Amino acid sequence: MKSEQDSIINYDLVYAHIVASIVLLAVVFLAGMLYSLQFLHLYPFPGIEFLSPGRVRTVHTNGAVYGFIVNGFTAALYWALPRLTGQRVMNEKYLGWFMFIALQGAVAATAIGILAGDSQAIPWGETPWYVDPFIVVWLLLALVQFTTPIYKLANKEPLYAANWYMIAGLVWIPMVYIMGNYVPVFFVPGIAGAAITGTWIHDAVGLYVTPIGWGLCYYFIPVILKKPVWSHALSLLGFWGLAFFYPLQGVHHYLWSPIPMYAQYAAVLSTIVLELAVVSVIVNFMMTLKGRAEALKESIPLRWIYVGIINYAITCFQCAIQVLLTTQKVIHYTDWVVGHAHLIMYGTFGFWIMGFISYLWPKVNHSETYSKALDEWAFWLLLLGMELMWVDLLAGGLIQGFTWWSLSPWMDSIRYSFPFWIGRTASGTLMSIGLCFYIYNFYKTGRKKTVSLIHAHEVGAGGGVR
Amino acid sequence: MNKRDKIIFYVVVFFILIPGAISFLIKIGSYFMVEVEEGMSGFALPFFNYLFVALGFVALFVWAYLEGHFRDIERPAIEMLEREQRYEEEFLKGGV
Repeated sequence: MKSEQDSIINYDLVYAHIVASIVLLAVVFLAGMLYSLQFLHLYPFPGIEFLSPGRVRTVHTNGAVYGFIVNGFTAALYWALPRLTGQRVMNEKYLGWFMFIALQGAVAATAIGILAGDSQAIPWGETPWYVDPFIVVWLLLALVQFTTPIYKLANKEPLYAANWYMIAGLVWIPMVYIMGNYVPVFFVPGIAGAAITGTWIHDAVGLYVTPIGWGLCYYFIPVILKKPVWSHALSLLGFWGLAFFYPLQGVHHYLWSPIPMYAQYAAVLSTIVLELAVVSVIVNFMMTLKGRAEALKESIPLRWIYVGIINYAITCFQCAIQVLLTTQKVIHYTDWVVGHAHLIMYGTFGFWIMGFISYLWPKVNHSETYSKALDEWAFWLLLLGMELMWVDLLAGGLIQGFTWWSLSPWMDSIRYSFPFWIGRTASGTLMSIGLCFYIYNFYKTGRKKTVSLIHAHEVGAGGGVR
Repeated sequence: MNKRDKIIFYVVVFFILIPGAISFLIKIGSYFMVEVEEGMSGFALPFFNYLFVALGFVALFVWAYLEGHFRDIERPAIEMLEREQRYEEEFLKGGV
């Protein structure tokens, strides 16, 4: 007989999205490593247009979002939302599997389109125009699929912070996507279009990745620590702060541009103040850890999540500084920005997803992690590689910025950057080794399930429902 | 709310939410004005779309308030854990 949770959670969907997320993360790493070799004059496919470094780089950035992050979040939502609400998502059997296949199809079409040269000229919105409508439909389906259980719960009892955050992420993103991917390309050219692409880059992070990520943290952290969040009131204040004050933040991506200066000043001011709202969320999670910090030694999923939170705090503090017009004079267009982007997208959201998957994978397999030692190696190598890459790119970015500012010959900045580009490839190699450990452990944990299920069947034990 | 929660609440309201609201209003005002500048009229489209969705969140906030979602404000955090504990016990009984 199926238990209550077996009837509301579709384990196969969680399983499938996790596998897709990890496979695509490997592809993203590969593309990133290939691109970094271009800077060292070691690119292995010179002269092949389909695999030209610029296109491979775009596969790296788009794959990270649509492939790794969206799949990772979707897997976690299929697990967490039914448990948070006691309700099923709208429809797993047809809608859930259709969405799974559609997402992988959209990711594949995006990668092929980009490699074929069909990118849109929008930073981080390079998805070919013919894929965009499918992504919008997918996001609308996700909205219906995942808000259904929240809606059912909201009519019975007050909502928990995680649910509020998930509502925000699911509601905002279809509109943000349409605005960012269609309006600048087809309707609003020029500087106004540039301002809109700025809002897209930032709102995609702030109005989808951040609320879904925080929402899932509000589920996983109390569950792993087995204690409630320090202050639910504070978590709600953080949520409403994000819901009301985050939108239209990204104009600060185009400082010193022809956008009127008073609008740039307003973007800078609101960005700095928004960081205060972020602090309230970070304080809440850190205080939740109070008295249970030793859990970080034992629980690797928890460690991934908290390291991600620390990286989030660092990037937000960095953000408040780098939106200043004075700072922008130096760092704009440099590798500093690349370092910042890596720390937020992988060092924060990527680490959270690694934590969610580390927690969920043994559960969906009704198994235990294959090797704790491999897990430890993966964690430390990925963490060390990530932080080294961040420092390396920040330092390289400063050197580049000051070299340009001093009006030195362009080639000087290339020459000075070279050691930092070696550093980037070296730290990326460390991360790739860590990822190999992670994937091997992941694979063996999945295999362990197969063996344990066969054993359970042979001895007539009744476990292992998937 | 106990004394500690009240202090946190008011600190966050006065030092974070109110400055956040003021800076957001300055930003919205600036973006509204920017649309009359040469070449910037197209910015009106996303601007008003964002405001429209934000109004939805205002409505959601009012609905949640009237439905009593913020009355016993710490309760959902406890209920969530109780529900999770029930599921986890079932999960372990399922034969891991």
